[in-house]
Amino acid sequence: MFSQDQITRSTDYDALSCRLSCHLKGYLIDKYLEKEISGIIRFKLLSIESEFKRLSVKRQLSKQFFGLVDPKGGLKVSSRLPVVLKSPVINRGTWIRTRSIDLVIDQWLGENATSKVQLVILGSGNDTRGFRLLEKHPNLSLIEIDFEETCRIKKYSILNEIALKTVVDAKENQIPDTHEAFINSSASLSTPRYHLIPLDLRQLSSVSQLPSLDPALPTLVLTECCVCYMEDNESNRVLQFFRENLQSGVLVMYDPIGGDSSANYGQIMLQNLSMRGIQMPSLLKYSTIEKQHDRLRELGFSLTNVSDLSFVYTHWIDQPELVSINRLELLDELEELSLINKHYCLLVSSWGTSWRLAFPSQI
Amino acid sequence: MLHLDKIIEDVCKCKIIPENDIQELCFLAQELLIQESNIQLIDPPITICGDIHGQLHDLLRLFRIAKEPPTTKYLFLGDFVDRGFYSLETFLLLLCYKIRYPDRIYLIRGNHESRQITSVYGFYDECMRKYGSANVWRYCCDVFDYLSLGAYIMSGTNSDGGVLCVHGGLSPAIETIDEISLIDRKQEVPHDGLMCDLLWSDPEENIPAWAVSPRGAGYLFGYTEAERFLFKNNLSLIARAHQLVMEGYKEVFDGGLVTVWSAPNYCYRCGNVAAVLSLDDNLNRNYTVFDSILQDCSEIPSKKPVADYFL
Repeated sequence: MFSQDQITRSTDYDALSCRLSCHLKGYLIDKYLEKEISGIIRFKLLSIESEFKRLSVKRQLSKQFFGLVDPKGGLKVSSRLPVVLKSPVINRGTWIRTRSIDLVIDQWLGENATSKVQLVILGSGNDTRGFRLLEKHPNLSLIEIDFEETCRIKKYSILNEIALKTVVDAKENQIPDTHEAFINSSASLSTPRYHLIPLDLRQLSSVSQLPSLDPALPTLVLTECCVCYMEDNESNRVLQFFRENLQSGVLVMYDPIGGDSSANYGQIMLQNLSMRGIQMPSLLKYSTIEKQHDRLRELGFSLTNVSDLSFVYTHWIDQPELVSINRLELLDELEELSLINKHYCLLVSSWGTSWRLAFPSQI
Repeated sequence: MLHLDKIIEDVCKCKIIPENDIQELCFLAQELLIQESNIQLIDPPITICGDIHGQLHDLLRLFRIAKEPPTTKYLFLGDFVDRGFYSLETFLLLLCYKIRYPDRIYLIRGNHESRQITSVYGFYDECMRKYGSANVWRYCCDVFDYLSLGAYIMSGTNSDGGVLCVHGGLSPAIETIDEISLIDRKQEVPHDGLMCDLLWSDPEENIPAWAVSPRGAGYLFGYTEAERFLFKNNLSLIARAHQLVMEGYKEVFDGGLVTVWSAPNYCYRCGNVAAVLSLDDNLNRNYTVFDSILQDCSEIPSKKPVADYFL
């Protein structure tokens, strides 16, 4: 049996395989991704005690990563792409998700290029976004928070790979090679610029739990498909925690929304996700961008930008970039893409700062 | 000798149909389709259906609601395959009916009835998964090449003009329906040109004439072009499919064009309803709207219908 938290953690692999598909198709260029996934596969398998279960997880991972898993462990990408990657609709949606958040973070970092700033990624999972940002912005320090099991696998994926180790500037060398040693090792990693913190966000109540967080520094808090898995009161407490404990900050939130109650998109989504055991407790409560807007307002954030991803797709990306994206693969499902994108929101809000996003807002 | 009734029964239960039977079905279908012209002339009354996309159980529901062939005469506007998990069964069922009642069911080609598109959007994978080889997919693709490109529903009593049915829409390369008859259609759908446009184009209310389609093939056409084409060809309506409409059907251009969509809860995710358009002897329009049924087919090794989301 899988616990609810385990099922939630498994969604990280969905996001990872979507990004791999985008990377292989040329939507996103991510030099860390293949290396990271290689490590993830290796240490995910090491984290499993039973040999029988390890085989079954290996099969699952192989399916998830398009049959590119090397029999000896790791990821094996050849020049000939697998026939089946993610569908064009999913690729396009993954691209706009990643690209739009990049645009927000890039603008914010661009305007804070001379001072020290920090980026906090909630439920960072195995995302490689932070590595790309650390490389580009020497004034940035990065804090990633996720469940212990997730952090342990990510930590050793970093230490195992010279490019990742270099970008976070890690000095640690010890890599466990047995299951016993692995599960008993510490899941946290801390370097002068990078902090990987194993913590169940629902248990977050005091800044002392985040010693690497500097409450005085300008901070961007990113939550990308993370708080949607929590109960409503838990997610609101997490968001409020950062607003109350940081002097100034920007919150960037990407989450699914259930949509207008007259259509049953959200209901169907919950049904479909429940076939995998995934729950999204507040999908129908915060079902529109207006409701998400009111939610954050009530939590004390001042909103600078509230849009669904369909709006972002048509209003944030300039024509030459769209043309080059359209060239990557034929997308027949335009109506479906726009429908799905309308059910994801991107909210940018701030406190203690006059910072404003330069992109148009839907409301 | 093929036992069509038995095959229809098995297809409806999602049982595996022997490869040889499929080969023979496809061969018979080709023999029939080769005799049809690019634009078939059909008498009303007729029921026009839009995209089905492998949603077999919803197609069976459609037949229950609008009556099975031969009781009702049908025109399917293409996109039988891809996306849904029962593309093969859907296409085979339609082919069986076509062979059994050639004058009571008509099939025209959609942009998904193509080798290139089916290898991306699911039909190829489905055949590989069910048969372990691409043979069945190949037989079906050979049938695709023979499908007509459109239909013209003649008006017996109504002087307002007939109805042109295509999968996508108009093309800047043609002025009259007759020009479509000149195409040699027995080929893979080309990347551009008249044949491609008929299968790929979309109407667009916010432009007057022609624009490049964001789909990467075909064109967008506006009110003026649609009006001109209707007038020049003495048509009262262009009936087409190709675009998801949440309400099942949508009339634009002052009722001169309709989009009909027949895949409810498209991709098991979209939450839309579906519709079919029935034209009576006088070409009066009557829409039947229906929603989705989801039944599990456990007899076939197939993906569970779990839709993808961004997680």
